[in-house]
Amino acid sequence: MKDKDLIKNLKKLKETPVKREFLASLQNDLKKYMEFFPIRKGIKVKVPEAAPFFGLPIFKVTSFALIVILAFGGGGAVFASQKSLPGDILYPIKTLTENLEETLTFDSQKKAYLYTRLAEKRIGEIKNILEERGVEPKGLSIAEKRLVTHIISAEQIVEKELEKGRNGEFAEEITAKLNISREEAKKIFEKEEYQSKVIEILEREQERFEKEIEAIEEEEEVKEAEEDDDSDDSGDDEETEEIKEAEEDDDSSDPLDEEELDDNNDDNEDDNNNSNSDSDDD
Amino acid sequence: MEMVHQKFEEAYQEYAEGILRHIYFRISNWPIAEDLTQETFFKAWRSMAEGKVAEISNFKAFFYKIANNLIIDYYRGKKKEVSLEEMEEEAENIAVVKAEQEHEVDLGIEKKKLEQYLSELKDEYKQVLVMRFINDMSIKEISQVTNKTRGNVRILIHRALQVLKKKYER
Repeated sequence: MKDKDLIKNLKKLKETPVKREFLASLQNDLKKYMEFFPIRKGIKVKVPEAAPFFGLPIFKVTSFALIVILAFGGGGAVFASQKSLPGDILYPIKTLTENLEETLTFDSQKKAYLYTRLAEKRIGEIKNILEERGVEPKGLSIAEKRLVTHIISAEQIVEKELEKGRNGEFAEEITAKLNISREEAKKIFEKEEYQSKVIEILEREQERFEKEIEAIEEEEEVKEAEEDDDSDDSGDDEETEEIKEAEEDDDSSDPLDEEELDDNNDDNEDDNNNSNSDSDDD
Repeated sequence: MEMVHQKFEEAYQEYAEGILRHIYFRISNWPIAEDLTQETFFKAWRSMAEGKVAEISNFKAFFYKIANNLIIDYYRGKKKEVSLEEMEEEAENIAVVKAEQEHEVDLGIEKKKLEQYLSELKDEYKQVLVMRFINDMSIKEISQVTNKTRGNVRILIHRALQVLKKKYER
C-alpha cells in the first residue's frame, strides 16, 4: 500500500460518527459549570505576582469597603464586620481583611492553613444564614462560592508542595482539615434540607484531588517503570536518539524523511483544501 | 465578562466534536472518551476562571493540550491498576463495539481494520496521526500541542505511517 492510499483511508476515519446527544448535554453542563466558576479576578487567589495594595482587582472589588472603613474610622468597622454575613453592609470589609491577610501571607504552607481556617469561617456563615434567613437565603451563594474557592486553593497548595517533594505532616494535616470541613458542610445542608450544588462540586473536587495526589506520589514509580520499558526495547531507543538529533538541528534534519513527508503533504493538499498551509512553510 | 463566556461556548461548539473523536482514537473506548472530553472542557474553563492562563490566543491548541495531558494521565492510571472489574467492563465494551461493528459491515471492513491497526500503534504515533489526518491539524498546530519541533513532528508522522503500513503487509 502506498502512503497516499493509507492517508486517504485515515482521512476517512474523520467520518466516524459521534454521539450528538452527549455533546449537547455536555454543552448544558458546561454552561452551569461556567456560571458556578465565574471569571472573577478579585476572588481568585492566585496571587504571588500581584502587589498587595496596588493590585487592582482586589482594590476594585472592595473599594466600597474601603470607603466604609474610612467613614467609620478603621479598626472599629473591621472589628464590627467580623460577625457580618454575606449580604450585610459590613461583609465586604470582612472579605477585604481576609483578602489582605491572604495576600500578605507569603509562606505557601501557612497560606494553606489560612484557607482551612477561612473554609471553617464560611461554614459557620452558611450555618447562620440557613438558620436565620430561612428558605431563600440571601447571600448564601456568596458564602458557598468562597467556601469552594478556599478549599480548592488549599488543595492546590498541597499539590504544589507535594510536587516539590515537600511532603510530611503538612499535606496530611491540611487534607484532614479539609475533609472535616466537607463533612461539616454536608451535615449542615442535610440538616436544613437545603439542596446545594456545593456538596456535589466539593465531592467531585475531592475525587479529583485525591487522584492528583495519588498520581504525584506514584509518578516516580511510573517513571522508573517507563525507563525499564525503554531499555527492554532497543528499537525504541534508536528512534528516540534519532528524534533527539532531529530536535537539535530542527527542521534541517534527515533530508530523506523530510522529502518523503513533503510528498505526503502535497497529497493531502490535493485531497483536502482545509489542510493548513503552515505545514508547507518550511 | 460575557464576552469570555460567549467565546468559550463558541470554541466548544467548534472543537468539541474533534476533541471527542481525537480522544476516542487515542484510547479506543467511547464512554471513557466522553468522560475525558467533559473533563477537558471543565478543566479548560477552570484554568481560565482561576487566572492560570492570562490570555488565550488559540483555543484549539489550548483544548488539545489539556486533552493530551488527560490521555497521558489515563494511560498512566491504566498501567498501575487494572482491576478485575475494569477488565470485565472493558470486555463488555469490546463486545458492544464488536456488535456495532458487525452491524455496519457496509461501512467497510477496511475502515475497521485500519481502526484496529491504529489502536495497536504506540500512543506517540497515534497522537500525531490522529491530529494530522483525522483532526486536520497543521504541522505547526501539532508542534504547538505536543511541544515538539516541526521537523520532529514530521519525522514522527512519517515513522507512524511506515509502522501502520507494515501492519497491512503482515
